Amino acid sequence: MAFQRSSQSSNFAGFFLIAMVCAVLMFTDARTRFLEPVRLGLGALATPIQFTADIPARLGTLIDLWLQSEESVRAAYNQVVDENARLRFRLQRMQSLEMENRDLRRILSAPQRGDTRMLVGELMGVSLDPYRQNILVNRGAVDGLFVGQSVFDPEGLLGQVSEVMPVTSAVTLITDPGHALPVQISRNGLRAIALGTGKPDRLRIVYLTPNDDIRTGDRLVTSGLGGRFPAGYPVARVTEVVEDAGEPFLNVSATPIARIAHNKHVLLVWHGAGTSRRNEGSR
Amino acid sequence: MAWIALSFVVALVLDTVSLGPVLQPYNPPWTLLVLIYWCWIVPSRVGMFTGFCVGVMLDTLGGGVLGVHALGAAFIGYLAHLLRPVFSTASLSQQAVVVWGLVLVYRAVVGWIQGLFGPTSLGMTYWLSTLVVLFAWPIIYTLIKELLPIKRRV
Repeated sequence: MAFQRSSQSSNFAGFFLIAMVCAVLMFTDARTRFLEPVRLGLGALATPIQFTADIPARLGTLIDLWLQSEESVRAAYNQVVDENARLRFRLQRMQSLEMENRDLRRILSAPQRGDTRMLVGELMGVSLDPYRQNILVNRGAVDGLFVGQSVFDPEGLLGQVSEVMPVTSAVTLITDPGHALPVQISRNGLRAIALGTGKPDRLRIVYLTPNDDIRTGDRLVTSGLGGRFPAGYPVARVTEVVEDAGEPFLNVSATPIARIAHNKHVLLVWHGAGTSRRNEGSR
Repeated sequence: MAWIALSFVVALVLDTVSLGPVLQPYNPPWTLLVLIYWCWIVPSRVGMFTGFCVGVMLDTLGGGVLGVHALGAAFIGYLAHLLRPVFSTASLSQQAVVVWGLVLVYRAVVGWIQGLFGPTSLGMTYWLSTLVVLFAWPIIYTLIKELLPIKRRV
């Protein structure tokens, strides 16, 4: 109690000490990975809080499900079966194309593409920081997630894992103001960088000059530069290209293709572990 | 002590509950309000060190850089102790205004530090949503006072 009494009383020296500890924490956490085990431990403490806070959202979905009529459920079921059949047919073609691609790459002695593995996760109805664009998913260290892992929804790239807790993970969306993503225009391969803006429906494409060939409606895909995201996955569609005569760069806006607000399920993707190893071998 | 810990856990849960993208900014900073309350009621037990601890939890729950909310909450613990004389003479509505000021300071500190670690997008709602504290403080004050069997100590 004596310790507590002295540490709680309002002397400036004590506050200064705590502030120093905080500063050290912040810089260690932001610049190094030493604190990952600490974060994991704190995450274990936070997990019950997150699951409790998720209860209202979970009840909401349950009640929603309960109120749905049998016909609408049947219709939705039929639609899903239908879509599944169509997707499986496309997969058959995909497999033969994949084989063909592998053979062609071998003939060209180009590095093989790595296999991707994925895990389906569910969004939790939990608010992280309302002023950042991030979400919580119900997969964590026990599922083998890692910081920097790519996260997709069925339509496109969603973001990357930014914090791994034991059974949950925080995902920073590509629309977070602190997020930058190397992209490519699928039409002509022009590379660019997509920055988050903090608004869920807007990305900023930076460092494109008026000479560059970019138009409204262009589809942006991941370029795979930097090695963090797999290449070639849909990211956004260009909505606006503004040329300001006084500015050296174009002012380009895009809307993410992933529908963050509509999909409850996300895909956590492992990619290219094999590719990089084979790459190094071939050099 | 257990009651205090429990109140912090409940506050952390309330801070984490999702209200949807539109209402979310107007969810009052429950943990911070509970911290200020205890700083005033039992200053010998709750203060900047407690602030640091719950701040670390806020950082973990928020998925941001560790230490940001910790520093903010510790600073609020420190300030709440300095402002204790003001609290003991103020009416509930006057207290609410002081608490609102503290929350503004907290937002300023946290926003500024987050800005050091990367771009942020803190618009008008970041500041205006603090006004909800004016309504939340009387509620939380009465709730804790009526529900928890802890009397004021100095």
